[in-house]
Amino acid sequence: MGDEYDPTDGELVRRFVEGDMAAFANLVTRYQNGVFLFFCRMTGRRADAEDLAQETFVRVYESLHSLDDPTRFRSWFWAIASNLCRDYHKYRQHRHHLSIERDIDLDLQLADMESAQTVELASRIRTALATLDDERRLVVVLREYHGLSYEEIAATVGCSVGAVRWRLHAARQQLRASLSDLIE
Amino acid sequence: MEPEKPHAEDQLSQLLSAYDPAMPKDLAAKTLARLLQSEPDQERRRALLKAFAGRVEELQNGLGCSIAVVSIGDCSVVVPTSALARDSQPIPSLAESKEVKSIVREVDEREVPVGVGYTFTIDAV
Repeated sequence: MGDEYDPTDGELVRRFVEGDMAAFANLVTRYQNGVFLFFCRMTGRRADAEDLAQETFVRVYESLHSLDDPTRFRSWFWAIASNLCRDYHKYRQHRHHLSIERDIDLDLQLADMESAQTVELASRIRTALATLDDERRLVVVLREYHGLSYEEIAATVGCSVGAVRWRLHAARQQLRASLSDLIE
Repeated sequence: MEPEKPHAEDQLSQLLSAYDPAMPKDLAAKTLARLLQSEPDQERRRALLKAFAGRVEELQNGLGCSIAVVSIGDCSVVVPTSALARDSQPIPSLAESKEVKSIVREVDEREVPVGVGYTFTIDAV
């Protein structure tokens, strides 16, 4: 099974644009876990994360034909997800006058719910992430959880590489302070 | 360009990895339902259904949720009934569509209303 051909994102994009719907389904399969987890970490709410993940794919489906360079799909995809996230936070803050920190979902479903220690730790991390402002949380989530390079994050969020480095540094400092009792 | 990996030795990175939310099992099916709702072209909807058919089969293996059979032409897939609604409100173009052939509920055999004024007969499980 290890010899199965694994097309690149760019190849799947080109095939979809030519009418191959299976190529789009392949992109959904490839990105659905990542984008759901991204929204979970960005919003703290599972139900909203599901909804936003679906909305991301609808936007991608509707606008993929306008992507000039298929090899840039990854950054383009995360830019759509990031913009949806910004809209979501604006909407909730406007509607509920709440910070994300106060608004996180109580329902913490983890991949591993076996250990009470893991659950407690995850809850601490989720709360710590929620205390970051939206832009800092965005860069730290894209970097730490999704492995985007500084250049990719800059292209995704629409700022300079220097600004990414600065935001990441500030976010890490803030997280270290929030979780200092867990770090030697 | 290869993505730069987070520094493995960074304690903070390791700590953050402990926040690992569980994946929903029916995300592909719900995504498909949303795509079907947004695609007006019948042929493309049919192609979408075919493309996703093999990716939402897990729903047929006893998830314990209400499921709907969505059919376009000779293609059918199973989606959770929750995929037919957003914020507890039905998606009219899908929930009220004739393409939703039936609702199958595992627990009981009552009729399940989907959408205002629309009720779908429940098939036997």
